[in-house]
Amino acid sequence: MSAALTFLPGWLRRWFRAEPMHWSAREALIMRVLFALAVYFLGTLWDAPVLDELKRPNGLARLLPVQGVTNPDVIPWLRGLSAAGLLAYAAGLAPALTLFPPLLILSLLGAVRNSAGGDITHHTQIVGMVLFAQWAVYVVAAVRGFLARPAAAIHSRAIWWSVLLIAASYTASGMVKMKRSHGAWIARAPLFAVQMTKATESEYYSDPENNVVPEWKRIDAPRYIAAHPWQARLFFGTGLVLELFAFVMMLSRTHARWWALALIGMHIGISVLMEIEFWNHMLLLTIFAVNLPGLIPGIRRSAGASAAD
Amino acid sequence: MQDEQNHLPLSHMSASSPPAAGLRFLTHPVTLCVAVALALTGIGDQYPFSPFPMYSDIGEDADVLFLTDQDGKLVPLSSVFGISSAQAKKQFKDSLYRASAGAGKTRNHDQASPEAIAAAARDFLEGMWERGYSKDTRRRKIEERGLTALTAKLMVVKLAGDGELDTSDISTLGTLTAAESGKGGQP
Repeated sequence: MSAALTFLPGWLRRWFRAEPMHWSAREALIMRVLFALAVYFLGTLWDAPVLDELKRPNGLARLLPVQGVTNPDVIPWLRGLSAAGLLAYAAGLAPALTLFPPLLILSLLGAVRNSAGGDITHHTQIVGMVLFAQWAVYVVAAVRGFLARPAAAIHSRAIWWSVLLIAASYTASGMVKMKRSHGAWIARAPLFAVQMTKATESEYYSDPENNVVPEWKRIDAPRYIAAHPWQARLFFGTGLVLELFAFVMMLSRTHARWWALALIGMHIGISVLMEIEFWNHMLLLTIFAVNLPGLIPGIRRSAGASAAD
Repeated sequence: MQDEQNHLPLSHMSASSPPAAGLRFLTHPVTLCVAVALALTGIGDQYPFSPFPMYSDIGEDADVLFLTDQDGKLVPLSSVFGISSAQAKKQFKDSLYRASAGAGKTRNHDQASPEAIAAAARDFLEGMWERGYSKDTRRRKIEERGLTALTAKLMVVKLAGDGELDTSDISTLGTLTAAESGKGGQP
């Protein structure tokens, strides 16, 4: 890739040069523990509704009779199975096998939740996709007979694909925005004033007796955006650029860290202005890309060693 | 070796035969990432996969659904029915899509016929009563509030010509009593 960028000045070419990305066994362990907690406590929709009818089957619901999984009598068993699998995964025990139950349970519950008709949630798919990517890495490693290889290299590979899925999901989101708006998404950004008002009014009408939306958020901010279209384009356009070019995260761990911090900033901005929180996205960016423990030399120390394995 | 550096499945290559430029491009992390992104847009919203299409098409107007009771007072959707205004609106739009006939199928109330809106509102409100009586906690709240009728209303938010936001366009979609839904008077 960098060879194809010879027209760029050297300092910029270096910025686009992909560096090998590896994570030490200690980093991988911390990430597995945190990710397991994220899957169990945030990513799996344990409160998916019991539905008599799947009005618009989604995901696995298109292939399997999935309604029974949300039965309140079944949920405790699924919780136990998922927890056991995630505990074993966090400990690094046969993840090709132990990750499968949490992945299947998450996918089934999410499929039921999104098959109710009309209302599709987008808060937990990022967890499911990273879970799928990791499981696939461990299965491929097992099938190829790489079980004899040091576990650290395989765990590191699973993390690499996790970062890739996270980055790809943002790039995909940017692509969809460009496609559906016929390239005019940034030009239409001032219309976010309407969307912000919709978000705050929806919040109010969800619980008019308790939800008090601040005046600045309900009136002042949307009005400011409507009155300052170019500032709105700059603000929201920055978010689109961050999404569309999220693949930059695959160039190095440093690129991943800084880009992830910028994306987290974007999510915080969306949360403040529009009352839409994407905790799973922020959490996974923090775990796999920001990777705070990886800043500690003692934890990162063995990264080079696993690369050389 | 490339596969060791980038975690790619190129184990068939030996260290003495570096991959060709074309293969290097195809297996470059950025190329792979973009390819996965394209795949996600192709798969669409099939849980757990998603291209995250939220706010991809920013409309010139937006609507907000809310409910009032038999006295015209606002009904707190989340605490009584366990659903947000945004979720309720999506359910109404789904009902509208089913109620609008043939080639005229639409989720937009301003493009639907009055008959389709009335049928969708009834279907939606029946679903709300069903939802309200499906759990004891919700049923208690309905009884505590003396809720006997629900009216669904839709507020349209749009930019007025002077750059101000206009929220004055509110239309009534329909009304349904608990008795009409078959839920009134249940223990």
